[in-house]
Amino acid sequence: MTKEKIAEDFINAAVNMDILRAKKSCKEAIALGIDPYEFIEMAITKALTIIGDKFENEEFFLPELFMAAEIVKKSMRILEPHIKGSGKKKNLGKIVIGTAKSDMHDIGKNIVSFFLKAEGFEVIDLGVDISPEKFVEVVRNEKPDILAISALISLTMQEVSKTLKSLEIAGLRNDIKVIIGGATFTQEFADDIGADALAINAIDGVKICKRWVGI
Amino acid sequence: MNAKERILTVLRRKAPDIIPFSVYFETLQLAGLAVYEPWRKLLDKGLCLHAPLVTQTHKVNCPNATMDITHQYGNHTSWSPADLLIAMQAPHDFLGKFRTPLGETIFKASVKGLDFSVQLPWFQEDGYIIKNFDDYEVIKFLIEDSEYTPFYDEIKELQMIMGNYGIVDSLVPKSPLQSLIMLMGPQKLALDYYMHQKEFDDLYRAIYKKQLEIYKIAAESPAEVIWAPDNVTSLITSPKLFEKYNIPFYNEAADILHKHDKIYIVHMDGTLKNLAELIAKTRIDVIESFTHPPVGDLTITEAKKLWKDKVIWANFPEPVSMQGQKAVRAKTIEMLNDAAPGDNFLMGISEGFPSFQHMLKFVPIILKTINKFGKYPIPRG
Repeated sequence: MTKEKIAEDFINAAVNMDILRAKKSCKEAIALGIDPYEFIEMAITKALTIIGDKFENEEFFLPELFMAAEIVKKSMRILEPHIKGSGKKKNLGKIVIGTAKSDMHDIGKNIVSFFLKAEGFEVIDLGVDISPEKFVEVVRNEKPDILAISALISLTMQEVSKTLKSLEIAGLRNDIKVIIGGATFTQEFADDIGADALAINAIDGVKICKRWVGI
Repeated sequence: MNAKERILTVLRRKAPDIIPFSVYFETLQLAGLAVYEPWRKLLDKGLCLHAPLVTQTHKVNCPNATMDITHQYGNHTSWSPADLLIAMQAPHDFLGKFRTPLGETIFKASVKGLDFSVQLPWFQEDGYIIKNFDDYEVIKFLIEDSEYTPFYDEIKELQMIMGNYGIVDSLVPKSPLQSLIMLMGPQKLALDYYMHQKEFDDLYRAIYKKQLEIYKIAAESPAEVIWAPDNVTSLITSPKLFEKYNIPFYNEAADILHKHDKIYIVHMDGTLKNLAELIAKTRIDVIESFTHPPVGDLTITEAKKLWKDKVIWANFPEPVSMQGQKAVRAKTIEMLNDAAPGDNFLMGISEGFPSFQHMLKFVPIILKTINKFGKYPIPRG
């Protein structure tokens, strides 16, 4: 079997949410001696692009994104032990991500975080309920390229606004791009607080970040 | 018309004098503000009360299982109303243990405030009752072990307290799929649906069967309306899941309720555009907490076009209130115009506002705008 055929099988399996077939393709790729990095590019990244597009076109929803994340996680477990020295891991840049203070919602953030990692970003996920002070501290220490803030309830809109102001006061605002996302945000709000972009959904957020680093 | 008549008139698809505008009775009750003077004035100006969350029509007993839940909230142990308000903001820690002959399951959860409508479905990982397959058996046992007894006293009491200021719903459990989201979280639900379909469907069917028992009890209750807190949003309950799991239950439940002339209300406050045509296929009477853009993704005009036989109880999208009084007034007018002439249409606030003070600032503006522009029939354009 050719590597193209195995990659195609993987893609079909992933898009059909068939984890067993996807894992089988990964094992076949290893057995055939295919470079794991090449397989990740040919199969996993391509499958994620198709799944992301289907999500944007509203053919897929959150259950499919969760399942895709699981398929990739399990597939990477098969591929990773064979990765050592076989190629160069790409690094598109560093992103700090977190859900704003007083908000415990993390589904959207986790999905964005997962897809950013899968695309090759280094992601520092701070979790939920993150204060403006904490965001500023991490941005100062980690010097990321992008700060991504998620929120679902409108109570937290003020906290997002405060975070932007705190970055300004700390003299860090011009060093990073800031993207916000969550059902409660509008473009008007993003413009008002001076965010660089509003992500209308998880996949849109990933696309914006990729655009910012020239991909 | 008084507030109660106004709401029930619209829920029965008849013409009101003015578009009803409601707040949840529980919002006022939680804040200890039920007799607070500014609210009383608003009630006298036509604000309606809607009490969907407080009264159940049954008591439950699991003869072969035990359940212990402890709830701690910081150091706030005072009974005074003022302190209780503070306690609502404090971190609340829950520890629950279910013990059955098949084993036990434990859940832990910590929430910042007592706005359960926002927090409950979003517990962190260990807050869900179902975390692995062993929990499936335990929960299935608990469900099948449950015995329900009719209990209508609470509804009768609250109906008496509420009088003509509004309506008291009978609270029924979320439909089976929405219950599963609460029990295991959206992530596990997705993974189990795709990877363990048989066990998933077995549990779904067990919940389905038992919940219909509760809906039968609710159907015979003194409440005119039955309210299911489903919190449907297409992002999690995708069209595929909705069609397979939600529609059959909604229709069977609707038939049970309609036999007893009850109005079937389902709380759907998320993005519904992708579900709109499927919702049209259900026999639900009222889509409550329908949320207009920017939070939702379906306009009132679009929904009315698709759901000709349904009543829409629209939630005022709360983020608009952050943009100030002018924006609130403009959004209210926009919603009324979208709904013109206003048949089968109510407005309400059914999500949490950042604070009660904030709510008190904006509810009068919405009410005043409706009183001015919401007289039925609302002129088109």
